[in-house]
Amino acid sequence: MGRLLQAELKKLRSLNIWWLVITGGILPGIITYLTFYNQENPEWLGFTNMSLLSFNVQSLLTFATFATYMWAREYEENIMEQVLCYPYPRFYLVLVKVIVLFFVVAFTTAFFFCTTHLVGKAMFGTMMPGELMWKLMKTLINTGIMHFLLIPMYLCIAMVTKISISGLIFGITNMCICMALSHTSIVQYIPQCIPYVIGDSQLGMNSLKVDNGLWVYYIILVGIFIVSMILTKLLADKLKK
Amino acid sequence: MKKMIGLEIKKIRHTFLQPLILLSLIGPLLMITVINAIDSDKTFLEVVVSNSVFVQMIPFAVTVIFGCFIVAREYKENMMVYLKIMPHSQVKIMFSKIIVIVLELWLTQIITFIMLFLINTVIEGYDIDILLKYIGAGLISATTFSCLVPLIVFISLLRRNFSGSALILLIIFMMTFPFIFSENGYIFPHLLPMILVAKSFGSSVYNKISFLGGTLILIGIATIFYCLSIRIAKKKE
Repeated sequence: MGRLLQAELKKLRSLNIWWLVITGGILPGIITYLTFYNQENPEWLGFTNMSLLSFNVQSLLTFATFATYMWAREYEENIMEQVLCYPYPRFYLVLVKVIVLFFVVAFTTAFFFCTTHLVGKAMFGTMMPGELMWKLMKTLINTGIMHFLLIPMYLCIAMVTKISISGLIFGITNMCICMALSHTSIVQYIPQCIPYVIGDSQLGMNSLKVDNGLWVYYIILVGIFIVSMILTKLLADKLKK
Repeated sequence: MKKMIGLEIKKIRHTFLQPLILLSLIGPLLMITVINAIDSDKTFLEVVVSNSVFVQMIPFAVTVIFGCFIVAREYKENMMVYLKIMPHSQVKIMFSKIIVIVLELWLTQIITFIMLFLINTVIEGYDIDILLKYIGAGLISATTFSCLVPLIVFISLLRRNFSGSALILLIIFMMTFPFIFSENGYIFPHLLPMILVAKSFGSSVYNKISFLGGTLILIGIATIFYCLSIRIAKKKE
């Protein structure tokens, strides 16, 4: 397993979509900066909330694309035959990618935290208030975990379609659903939209409807995670045949 | 030219693009109908107006994938040799591809708005003013998005890779998308088609940019990327 992880990390280095993760971390802050640029009396809370909403909605696209690309590149670059020769159970191939993607999600989230802080400092000229910083950290840990729980679903899609574009299409559809249904109460029960809704509520803005405790949303997402993992296991076993 | 366009259309038969185009037609309609069912305070037209950006976004995203696929597949599937023995210039071949992409774009955008009008008529009855609004929005959407087609072709010719070029275009498009809700959204030219359609529906958010200004920017973008694409196509020769 350790060697498989090492091989995956080596492959990750040659991945040519690292810019996607960097963009996913930087762009929400910049877009918020440009939006708030002309406004009178902007506040740290409003700035942070808008930046977080942009980050959560864009992450649906970033992580879906990254995850599907990681799996589909084996097909697109014609290296699936070599991968299937690895002397490990097929499911380990998926498991290793899930582990790597955990770090990708963690890195993007941490990167977003730093850039929002810097962009905000450039805009307001002061540091982010301590209380808000703790709130943002807590929110990002929650939404980061939630985004990670969706990863097996993206891998499942990649395993079925075998093309990286499928993640992109799925991400775009999710973005549209999130934004279009954001003011309805149904949005909180759509698994892909949960990080988007919870981010807003955890930061204390409550502009989106959240009717239940945090644990309800975690149950939904853990359920999705388990079902997707089982599906990926079945699909990985099919690869064997 | 007719034969070349026919050939391009033949090439996309039995590919994943057909279900994708169908998805791009059904997706927005389904989304608007669901929002209308949930948000019963608003009329159907109001729901369409407040969500017009999403209505246009899905078909355009599919057009980007469609465009990148038909331009870049020749490189991936090693069919360049066959293209080169054809008795047509590379510029002509590229032009036929642009026409096919524009046709697909017009088809999806116009059908989407006509279907929205039909649903509107079923729910709230026939109204000539509403019909004109939908037709106007459909035409503006299709025309303005067509100006971005040379950009799709240029990136695909440059990258020579279907996934890579579609990824770049869609990520740039989607990552800057939240900016459309700001009054300064017009600084990103690829958001202009959606801004102009929202304006045609009467949105007051985008007062900073006029129809003429937006159209001129888009024509400029189309001309620049069309010339750049011709240059790349000629280089191939």
